[in-house]
Amino acid sequence: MSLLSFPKMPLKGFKPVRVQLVFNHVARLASSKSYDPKSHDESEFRQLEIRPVRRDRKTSSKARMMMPRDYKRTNNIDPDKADWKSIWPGPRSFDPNSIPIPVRQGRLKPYRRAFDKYANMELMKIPSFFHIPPTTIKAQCEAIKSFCTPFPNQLNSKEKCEEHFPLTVITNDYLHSAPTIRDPLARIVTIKLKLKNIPLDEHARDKFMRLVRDRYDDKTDTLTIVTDRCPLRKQNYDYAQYLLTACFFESWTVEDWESEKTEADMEKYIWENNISAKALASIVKWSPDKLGKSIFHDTLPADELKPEHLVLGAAVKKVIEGETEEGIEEYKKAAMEVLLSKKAVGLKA
Amino acid sequence: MNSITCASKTYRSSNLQYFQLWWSKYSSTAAPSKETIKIPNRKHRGPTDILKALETTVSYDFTGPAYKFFDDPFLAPYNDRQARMYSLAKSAGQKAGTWVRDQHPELFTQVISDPPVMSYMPSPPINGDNANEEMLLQKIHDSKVSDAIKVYELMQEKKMDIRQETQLALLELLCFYNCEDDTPMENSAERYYGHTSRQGDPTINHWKNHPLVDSLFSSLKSLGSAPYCALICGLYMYGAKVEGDKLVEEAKEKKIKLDINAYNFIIKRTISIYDKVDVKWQLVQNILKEINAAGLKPNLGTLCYSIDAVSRMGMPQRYQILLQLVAEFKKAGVTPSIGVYGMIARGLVGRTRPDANLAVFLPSILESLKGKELVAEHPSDLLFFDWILKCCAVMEDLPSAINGLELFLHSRNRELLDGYRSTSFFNNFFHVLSKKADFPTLIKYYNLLVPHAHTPSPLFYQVLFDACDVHAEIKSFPTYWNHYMSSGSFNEETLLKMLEVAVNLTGLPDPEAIEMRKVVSESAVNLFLFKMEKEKDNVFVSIPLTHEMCDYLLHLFARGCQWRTIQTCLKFMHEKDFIPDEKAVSEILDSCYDHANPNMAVWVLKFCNKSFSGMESFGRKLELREVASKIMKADFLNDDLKKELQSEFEDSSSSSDSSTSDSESSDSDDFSDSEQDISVPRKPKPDVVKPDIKKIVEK
Repeated sequence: MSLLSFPKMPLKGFKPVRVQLVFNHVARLASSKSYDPKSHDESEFRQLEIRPVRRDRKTSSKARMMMPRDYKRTNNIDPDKADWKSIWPGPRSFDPNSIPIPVRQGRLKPYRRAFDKYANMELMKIPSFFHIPPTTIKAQCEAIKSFCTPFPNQLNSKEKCEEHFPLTVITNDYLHSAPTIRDPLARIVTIKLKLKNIPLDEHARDKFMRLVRDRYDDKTDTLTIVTDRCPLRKQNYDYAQYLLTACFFESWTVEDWESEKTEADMEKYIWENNISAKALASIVKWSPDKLGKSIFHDTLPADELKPEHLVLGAAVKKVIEGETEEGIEEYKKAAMEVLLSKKAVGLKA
Repeated sequence: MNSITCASKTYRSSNLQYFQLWWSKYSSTAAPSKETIKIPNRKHRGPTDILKALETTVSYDFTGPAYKFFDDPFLAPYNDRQARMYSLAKSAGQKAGTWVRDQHPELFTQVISDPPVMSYMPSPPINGDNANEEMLLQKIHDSKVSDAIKVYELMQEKKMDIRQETQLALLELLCFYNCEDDTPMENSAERYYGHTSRQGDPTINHWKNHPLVDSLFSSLKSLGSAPYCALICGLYMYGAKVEGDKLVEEAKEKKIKLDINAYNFIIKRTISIYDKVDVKWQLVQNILKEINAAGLKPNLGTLCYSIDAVSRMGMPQRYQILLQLVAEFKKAGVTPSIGVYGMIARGLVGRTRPDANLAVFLPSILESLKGKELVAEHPSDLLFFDWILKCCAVMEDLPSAINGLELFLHSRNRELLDGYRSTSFFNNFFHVLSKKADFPTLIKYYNLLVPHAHTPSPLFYQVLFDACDVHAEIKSFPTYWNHYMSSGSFNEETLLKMLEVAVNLTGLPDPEAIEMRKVVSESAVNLFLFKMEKEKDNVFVSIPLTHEMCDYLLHLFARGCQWRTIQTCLKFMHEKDFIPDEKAVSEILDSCYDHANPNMAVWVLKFCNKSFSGMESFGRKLELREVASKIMKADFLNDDLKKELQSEFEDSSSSSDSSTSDSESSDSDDFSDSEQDISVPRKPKPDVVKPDIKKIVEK
């Protein structure tokens, strides 16, 4: 049975019995006040009123409006001159009586305006920022200026701030309108650091990455450590400092077994270690007397590497990491430059 | 719902320096090349200093009710009486909660506050097992008098040893509070609206002779000065003069040195001595000399009580004496508090005629205090504003009154007055305003303070309505009407004045006045129906509607086209044997003509002719007929109504000599129940072509 076919009046056949009604009637008969000799002559038989009709209680609603309650506060507020921070000093839900501007909110129906501010539930639901308009912020800043100290002159740019104070510590304070001033979330400490600010060589950096894992964001070069396992903020802060220190020094240590790392264990392609660099070396250093011997040499030392060699290395790396047509083209160009350019040929000659 | 605010704190740290140092050992390139950065030291601040600084940006807002009330037009109080009732009701709820907590401490086992707030927790029950000296000291510290007495008595029963210092502290507590509990600190509403002075009238003996005080005093007599001083202060504070005098003499006989506080109360005692002024002044001087001889350093209390005593004396040279006293105390290192100035001003006003020096003293004091945040140092400081404004009211000095008000509204100075005194303060201010101020000033301060800061008296409203009449203040008149109606204190003259001014203002040939007619007439209907309702319920109406008021109301109803209420009002007047004014009736007829309501005009003419015939002279009747004939000549009435009116007046002229009972009976037939609704002008219904439904459906 679908919802539409649900009967509109499921109890149509039954008549509700109202005990209260009977009780009312008994009370009416019992009280002497309800008996009005004017309306009922003594000779007349009094009627039993199953459903009592209210005759005497004709009080107009207007008569009760003696106390005029309708003068509005907004009439006294001049939006241009009013001291708004005194009228609305703290956060609270929307009050149409105190806000001297016409506000509308609600679903828009065709050819109708949204509902106005009076008795508008939609306006009461949403959080408002009436307690912090720019003028209030200005006044409050002025008031707490006396507690501030001047900012150091030397730190005049963001880069300088980062250079001198590379570590950022973030904590949260919570304020409740409750009897307790504690909040468990206040214990959490976050520290942030740009990795360029700490000295790491290739090996240390690699190891550091393995230790911190997803706490490092390579887009912004930022390391983020969040500590929340201790009950107090101070303890969490100390723990975060300890973690950072431990990771740093651990990454600089080189264990014995690290020398056993083979090409297969490498997590990325390094051209200098690979066969391509050796092949280049053997080609560059080729001489007729080496004919018939192994062409594979050690790689070229760093001071013998020319710019075109490095370009070739980059192109090889690009091809190996992901083969594209452009990559191949680049590789070809770089190889031609190294092997067949006039310079290379001339040198050989 | 708890509102939660989260403040994020982010700061940068240079703790990484040691990494850099470590690195510099290994690498020559990464050596830190740092200029030294000097970071200023943190300024010391308390835990609430920032909140206090933010609070200074918020000033008192008079456009709405005070913060303790609901900011809602239907729940906010609109006069002083309501405000008092609302806040006391609220605090009664709190008191009930406290009572439940104290009666059933076993129900409140959870401690939800952190750090724990002791005043929210039930105090442990006092019984023989846990009563000890530590508990007694705690009760004395919290100034819980009845609890302290209970603990002490339990300890006496168990014959425990109590140190003499503790006994002395208990004696001092009992003397200070007169052996009864004070209104607790957390019950702010009761403290604000309750009795201003715990000590009451110094001329009446309030001293409760608790047996514990005597026993404690007799056991502590050996200590010498301290118990004597405590008891002397207590006795004089609560007006037990005879006992106090005896004790002072006893102390003098035994050559016990009294301390400065005891001397202060001895000075206060001189106020209630019935003697000549010179003798009293001599007495005060002698006491001051005695203090000097005893080598005691006077304090603020000494200054206040001596000024209080001297200012009540009413000597012709009092101004010079008071100033001399203040100057001498200043030399002795006592700076006068504001209460001293208040008492000097009160002394200068006197009972009969104000001193001429007051005209100089009052403005100069207010000028010197301008823009200062005042602090209460002595109980008399709480009366400063009240007395200053009383002086302004006597002198009718408007600039000083305005200065006083500005000082009162500055920062937190308004906390120096309680509910009762602030009503008196504003009453005096409005008195000066009504006597001396010009119309713009009057309106300026009225709009600032009414209705949320103060409810003016009916007498002030009378002045206000008069001023509105003279200055033709049409625009804000309905507001003032509403304010007066909600002020809750009525006065026949003021009500009459209000209606008169309303009639005058709505009658002005001004487009604003014509616009206002509707608003004022609605307010008038409210007023009229409210009074009718009261009369119907047989409630005693303190200010019933008079004949004159009804006439004014008829004018207003006619201008606002309140046809139904006009009918009710005329019937009411008929019941009360009031005869409507001729002008009012003609106003109604004019209005009927203007608003094309011929039925109403005929009804009014007929009703007046029938109902008021018995008690009216013949001349009036002729007038009515004249009006009727005038109306009949115009095109205003249709033929049926014309005939009806004609027959009515012919009937009445023929039966004018017959008895009034006839007219009354016919009247009851015609007007007892107005079944035909003539409150709306009758208009022929235009022929509206009914839309063809079939066509619409097809579309």
